[in-house]
Amino acid sequence: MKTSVSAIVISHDSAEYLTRTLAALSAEPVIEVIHVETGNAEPLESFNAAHFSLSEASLSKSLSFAVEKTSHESEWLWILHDDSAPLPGALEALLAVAEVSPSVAVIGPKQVDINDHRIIVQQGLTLTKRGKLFSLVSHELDQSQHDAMSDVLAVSTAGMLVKRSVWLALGGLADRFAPLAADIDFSMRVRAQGHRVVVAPQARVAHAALSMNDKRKRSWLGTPAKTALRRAEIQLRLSWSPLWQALAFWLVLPLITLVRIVWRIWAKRPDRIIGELSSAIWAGFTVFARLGARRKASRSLRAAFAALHASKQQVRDDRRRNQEQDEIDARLEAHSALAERDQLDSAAPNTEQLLLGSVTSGKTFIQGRGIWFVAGLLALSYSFWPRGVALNGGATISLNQNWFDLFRRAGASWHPIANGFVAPSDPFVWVLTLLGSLTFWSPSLSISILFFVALPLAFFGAFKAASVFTTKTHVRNLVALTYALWPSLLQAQQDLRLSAVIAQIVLPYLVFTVSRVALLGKEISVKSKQQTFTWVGLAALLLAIISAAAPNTIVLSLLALVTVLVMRPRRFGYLVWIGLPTVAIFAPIFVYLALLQAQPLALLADPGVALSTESVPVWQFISGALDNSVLATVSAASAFALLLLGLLALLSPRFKVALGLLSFGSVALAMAWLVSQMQFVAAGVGAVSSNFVNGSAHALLGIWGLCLGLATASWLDSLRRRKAGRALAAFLVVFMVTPASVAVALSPNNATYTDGRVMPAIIDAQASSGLNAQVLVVSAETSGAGYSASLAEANGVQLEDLSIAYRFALADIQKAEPEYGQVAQLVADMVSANPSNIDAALKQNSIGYLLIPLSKDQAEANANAKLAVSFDSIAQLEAAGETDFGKIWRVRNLAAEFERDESSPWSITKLVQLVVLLSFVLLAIPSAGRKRAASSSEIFVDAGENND
Amino acid sequence: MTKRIVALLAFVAFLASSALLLSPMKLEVGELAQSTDLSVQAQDLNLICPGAAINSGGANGTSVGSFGRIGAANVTATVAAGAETFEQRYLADGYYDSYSGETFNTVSQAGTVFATRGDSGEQGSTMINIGQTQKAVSPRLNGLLAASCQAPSPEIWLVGGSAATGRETLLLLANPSLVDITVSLEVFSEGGSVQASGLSGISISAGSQTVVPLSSLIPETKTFVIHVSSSSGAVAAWLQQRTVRGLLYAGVDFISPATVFSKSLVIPGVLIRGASDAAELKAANLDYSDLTPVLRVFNPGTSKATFTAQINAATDKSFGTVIQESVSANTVQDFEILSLANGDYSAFINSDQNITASIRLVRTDKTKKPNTDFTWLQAAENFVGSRQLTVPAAGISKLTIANANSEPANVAVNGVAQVVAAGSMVVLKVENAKSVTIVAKDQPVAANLVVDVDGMVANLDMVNYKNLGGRVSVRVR
Repeated sequence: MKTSVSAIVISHDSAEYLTRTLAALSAEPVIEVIHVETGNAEPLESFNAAHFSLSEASLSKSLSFAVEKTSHESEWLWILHDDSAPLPGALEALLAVAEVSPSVAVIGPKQVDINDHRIIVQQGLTLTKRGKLFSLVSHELDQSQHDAMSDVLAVSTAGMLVKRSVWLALGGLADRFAPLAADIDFSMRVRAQGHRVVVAPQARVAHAALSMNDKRKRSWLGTPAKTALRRAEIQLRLSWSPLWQALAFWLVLPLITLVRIVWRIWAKRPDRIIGELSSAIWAGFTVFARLGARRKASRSLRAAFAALHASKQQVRDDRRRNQEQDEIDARLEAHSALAERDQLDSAAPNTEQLLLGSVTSGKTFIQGRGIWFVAGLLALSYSFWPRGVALNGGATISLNQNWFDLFRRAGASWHPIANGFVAPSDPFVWVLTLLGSLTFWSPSLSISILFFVALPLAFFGAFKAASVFTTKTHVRNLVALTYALWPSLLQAQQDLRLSAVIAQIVLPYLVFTVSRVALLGKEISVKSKQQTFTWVGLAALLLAIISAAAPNTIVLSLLALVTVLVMRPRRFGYLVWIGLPTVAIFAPIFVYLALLQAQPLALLADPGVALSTESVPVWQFISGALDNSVLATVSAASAFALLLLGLLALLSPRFKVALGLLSFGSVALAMAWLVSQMQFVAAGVGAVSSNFVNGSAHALLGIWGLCLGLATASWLDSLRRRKAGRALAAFLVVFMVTPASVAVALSPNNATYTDGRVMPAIIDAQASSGLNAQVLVVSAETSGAGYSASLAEANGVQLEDLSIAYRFALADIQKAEPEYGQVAQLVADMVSANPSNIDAALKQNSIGYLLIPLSKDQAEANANAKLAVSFDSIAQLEAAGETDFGKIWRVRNLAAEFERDESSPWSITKLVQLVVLLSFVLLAIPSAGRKRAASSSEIFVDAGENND
Repeated sequence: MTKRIVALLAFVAFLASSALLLSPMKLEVGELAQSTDLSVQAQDLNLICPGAAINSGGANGTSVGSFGRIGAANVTATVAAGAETFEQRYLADGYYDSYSGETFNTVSQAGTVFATRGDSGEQGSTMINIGQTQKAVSPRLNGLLAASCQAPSPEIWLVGGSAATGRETLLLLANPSLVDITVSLEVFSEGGSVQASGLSGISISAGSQTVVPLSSLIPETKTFVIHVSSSSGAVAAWLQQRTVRGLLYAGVDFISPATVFSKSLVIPGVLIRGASDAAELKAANLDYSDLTPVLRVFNPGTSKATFTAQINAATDKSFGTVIQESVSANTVQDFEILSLANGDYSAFINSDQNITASIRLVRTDKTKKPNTDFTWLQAAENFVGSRQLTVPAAGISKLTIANANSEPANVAVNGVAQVVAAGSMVVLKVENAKSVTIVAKDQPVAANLVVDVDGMVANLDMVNYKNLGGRVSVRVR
C-alpha cells in the first residue's frame, strides 16, 4: 500500500535555495507540496505546489498553517526548509524506516553539506548532561560510519518526516518556545507519548544551515544563531526540569551567566558574550512565558531521555573536532593573508605544508643571546638599582603603600581633594594599580624596580617588534639595542618620567602583538582562533596602557589601527576589539574634559606630576633628545647614526616598508613637536614647579625612534651581502650604541629613595593611627608673587591622587566654592602673622598641621624662611620641627574631627571599566589548548625575502 | 630607483626644513587658577637697634671672651601720625616710652627694641624709620658708628669686615623674640667656604644678644662674607669692625646686612675726602696701607661672575674709574679703587651673575686724632615711591641719590624736585635731626646717607621696614 505524504516547505526570503528545494521535491513521491513563504519574497509559480504567504510568521505558526492546508488523506508530513533540498530517494528511505517500525512517529534524515554531499552536517539531535544542544554528528566525512544509528532524542525540522496524526495530537511545534528549542521539544514530546524518534541514515537532505550560519535575515530567528542556541538551552532547562530545579535554575541564572561569560572569555570566545548576556536577560524578563510552556515528565521518562543524551566521549570528540577545525581555519586564514600579499614564492610553503605545520623561524630570544644584552643593559642601569621602597624625583612620587587604597582611586569618580571633587580619575591610575599589583605588599617598589629594568624591558620588546621585520637574529638584537638606547627613552628615565617610560617600554610590544593579530610581518604565527584572541587581549591592554600613560599618542594609535585595518580588512573581527579597553577607561575623562569643560586639548596633557621639558633646537629634537646637558647632546648626536640608516633604508629593496614606517614616524615626530609647544595648566594637587608645563614629547619621539629602528631592520634584513650587513651593523655599534651606552653609564640618577612616606613621620604616624585632620601646605609662589596653599589628607599626596581633571577645573572651582576663599584668607592671615581671625577657619577645615615644603632654590628658601617666622609667631601654632619634607607646625587644641562627606569609590563607570579590563586580562591569558603533535606545535610562515 | 631617491630626498628636505624653519610657538591649554588678592593686617613691626659700641677684652684688652659696652648710641627716628612706637630697652632696665607722629631722639646703650603698631596704616619707612649713631672716643675705640635698626630676619648676609692683623671684627647677634633661637654661620672668603669650629649651633636666648669674635674663629682672614641663618626664629645681626694702627685705635663701624643680590647693583655715597692725606700716610707707614677705598664683591652662585664696576663722579670736576674683574663661585674678593680724587662718587656695578657688593669708604684727616675712620657702604635697594630716613642730630650728613637707569629720574626730596641724570647721582646736604623723604616718581633710584662727625665717617641705609601684610596674594590649589 502506498503511503501518502504531504510535503511542507517553509521559506524565508531565500529564493535561490527554495527553487533548488522545490525542484528536488518534484522528483519525490509526495501527494502534495504546501509552500509557505514567511518572508517578503515573491511566490514561485513554476513548481507544482500550493504557495502561501504568511509574512513574518514564526516557524511553528507557519507549520501549523501549512498542516491545516494539507490533505486529510495524507498520513505523513514531510517538513523541509527552503535551504534543505532532499537528495534523490530520500523520502523512500524515510518511509522504509516507517514501514518496518510502526512505533516510529518522527524520522530525521542524514543532513549533508549542500556543497559537498560527502560531509554530514547533522544526523539527529540530543542534549548534553549539562543541557547543551548537541548534534550527534557534525561535519564528518560520510564513510557510512553512522549508518547504524537509529533512535535519537530529537531531529531537526529540516527534513523531518512526522506522522500527521501525532503532529495534530501534539499541536505541532510550541509557539512560545525559543525557535531552536521547538523541534527538540517536539521530538521529546513525541517520545513522551510513547513513540520513537529515529534517524534514517539512508535518507539524505542537503542542508545549507542558513540559520546556524547567520545567513538568514534576523527576523527568522529573531536573534543571532549563537544567542538563539543559548536561549534554546535555557528554554529546555526551564521547560523539562522539575519545577523546583527550574526555579532554582532561573534564580541562579545571573550567576551562571556571569560564570559562563568568564569562561567564554577564558576560552577566547568573546563573540559569545553578547548571546550569553542577552539570553539571560531574555529569560529573566520572560520567565512566565518560559515557565508557561512547562512539560510534565516522570522520573522514568527523564531517565529514558538521559539514556539518549550525548555521552562524555561524544562531547570530548566534538570539542576536539571543533578545535581542529578552528586551527585549520586559522591556518587557512594565515595562508590567505600571505596569498593576499602575493608573496608566496616557490620556496614558501604551500597550503598543504601549512596544514602539516612546517616551521621556519629565526632564533628565539635566548638562542639569539639576547639575555647577555639584557645583562649589559642592567649593568648600565646600575645607578637605578632600587635602594629604597619608593623612588621620588622628577615626575615621580610615591604611590599609596596600601594596594587597596590605590585600587580605590582607579576609575573613581570622587576624589578626596579639598572638600571632595567629583570628576573622573586619570586613566593612568589604572596603570599604576596594575603596576602596583606586581609588588602588592608595597606598590611603590614596583616603580623603583621598573626604572631599573626599563632599558632591558624596552630591549626585549624591541627585539620582538623587530621580529616582525626581520628573521636575522643579530639585526633584531641591534635594532633592539638602538631602541633601548634611544635618547627619548633615556631622557624619560633620567627625568624620572614614569608615564613616558611606561609608554616607551610598552610601545614595541604593542607593535608585535598587533602584527600577530593582523597577520603582518615576516613570521606569521598561527595556532588557533584562541591564540589570536590572546594576542587581541594583549594588544588591547597594551594600547590602553600606552594611551593612559601618554594620551598624546592616542590619535597616532588610532591612525595606526585604521592603517592596519585597511591592510587587513578580513581581520576586522579581531582588530575591532583592540580599542575597547582604551575607550572604556577614557570615555569618562573625555566626556568631562572635552564636553563638560569644553577643553578637548586637555586630553593631551600628561598624567602624573606636571613637569616641563627643556626647549631644545629642532635638530636635537629630531634625534629624540630633550635636554641640553652634555650627555644628552652626546646621546642626541649618536642617534643621528640611526637616523641616517633609517633614511637610507628608502633606497633598499624594502622601499615600501621603509616608506610606510618613516611616514608614520614623521607624523609622530610632527605631533611630538606640536605637543612640546603646548602649555598645559599645571597647578593642581601636590607640588608644582610652574604654572604651566609644556607637553611631554617623549612617547611620540619613542615612536619616531622605533620607526627608524624598524626601517633599518627591514633594510638590513634584505641585504644579501654579509659584508655589507656587517659593515652597517658595525657603523651602528660604533656611532650609536657605544656613545649612547657611555652616556647612560655616566648619567647620574637624580632620584631619592625613601620608605614611601610623603609626609613627615609625625604626621604619617598620626595618620596611620586614624588622625582625621588635614594638612595645610603653604609655600611661596615660584614667581615670587604671593603664596600658594593646598589642603592634603594626613597621609599626603601620592601619585594616584594627581588629577588632570582637577588641574583643568580648578579655575572654575575656585570661583564657585567659597571654601577656597576661606582657606586663602586663612593663609593670608597666617603669612602676615595675624592670628586674630584664624581659629574658625582652622577648625572648619580641620587643619591639624601646617607644612612649608622644602625649597627648590634660594629665592624660595628666603621667602619660606619669612613664612616660617610668621608661623612661629602665631600662638595657635606650635613648631614641630624641621623634617625631610619641610618644616611643620601643629595646631594647638584641635578639637574638631575632620568629617569629609566621603563618597563611595565605586561608580557605574568604575564598574564598567573594571569589568572591561578584567575581561581583557582574562582574554590575554593563554588558555590551555589541545596538546598537539610536536611537529605541528606552531606554524611560522616565512614570507620570503621580497617582503615589501 | 628614481622613486626611492625622490622619497629619500623628500624626507631629508622635510627634516632639514623643519630644523631650519620651525620656530617655537606657545599654545596655552587650560585656565590658570588665579591668585586671590586679600587684604590683611600685617604683624606689628619689631625693630631692634644694636646699641652702643662693643669693647672686647675688657679695659686692658687682654681679657678673652669679655665684651662690654662703651658709651651709648644716639637713636633718631620718625614715627608717622597714626602709628605708635613703644620703646623697650628690654636688654637693660625695661624702660619704656612711646612715640607717635613725631621725630624723636633717644639713647640706646645695650640695644633697644622698638615695637610699632601701625593700625590700618601701611608699613614701610614712611611709617617708622630708625637709625643710630655713636661717636666713640675712648682709649680702645675711636670712630663714628652708625647703623639702621633692623627688622629681625631668619637669614642675614653681612658683607664687610676684616680679621687681619690689627683689625678686629665682632659679630653681634640679637634675638628680640620670646623664644630661644639657634643660629648657624657660614663664612666665605677668597678661597670659598671656610670650615671652622664654632660656626653652628650658636644659641641665643629669648630677648638677649650675643657677640661672636670672628677674629678668633677665622684669624688672619682679611676678606670675608658672613651668612647668618636661624632655623627657629628671626635674628638681627651686625658686624662691628675696629681698626688699630700700631697703638692707635683709628676707626670703627657697624656693618649692616646686605639686602640686594642682583646682576645690577648701585652703591651710592662714595664721598672721598682727604685723598692726599691718605696717600701720605699710606706711603709713610705700613699700618695705613688700607686707606684706599675697597670694593668687596661676593658671588654666591655656582658660576664665575664677571662684573664691571663704574665709579662715577657726581660732577664734571672729578673723574671716576672702572674695574673689570671676575669672582669665582662662592667666593668673595676685595678690589682697591685706585686714583680717586676728593669728590662725590657712586658705584654702578653690572655682572653676568647675581652678586652683592659693598665699599669700604675711608675718611682721612692727618690733623685730627684719630686721623682715620672708615665705613662700609652696602649695595642699596632700588626703589620707586616713597622712602624716609631720619638724619642724625650731630655732624654733617649728606644724602646721595643714584640713578642706574638709562633715563633721568625725577625725584622729590622733602618736596623739592630733583632730576638725577642717568648713570649719575645727586648729593644733598640734609638738615640734622629731621626726617628726609624721597619720592622716586618714575625711575627706580638708590640712596643712602653718609654722616661726618668731626672727620669721622659712618653711613645709614634707607631701609623699608615692612612685615608681610597689606595685600597678600594667595592661590589655593
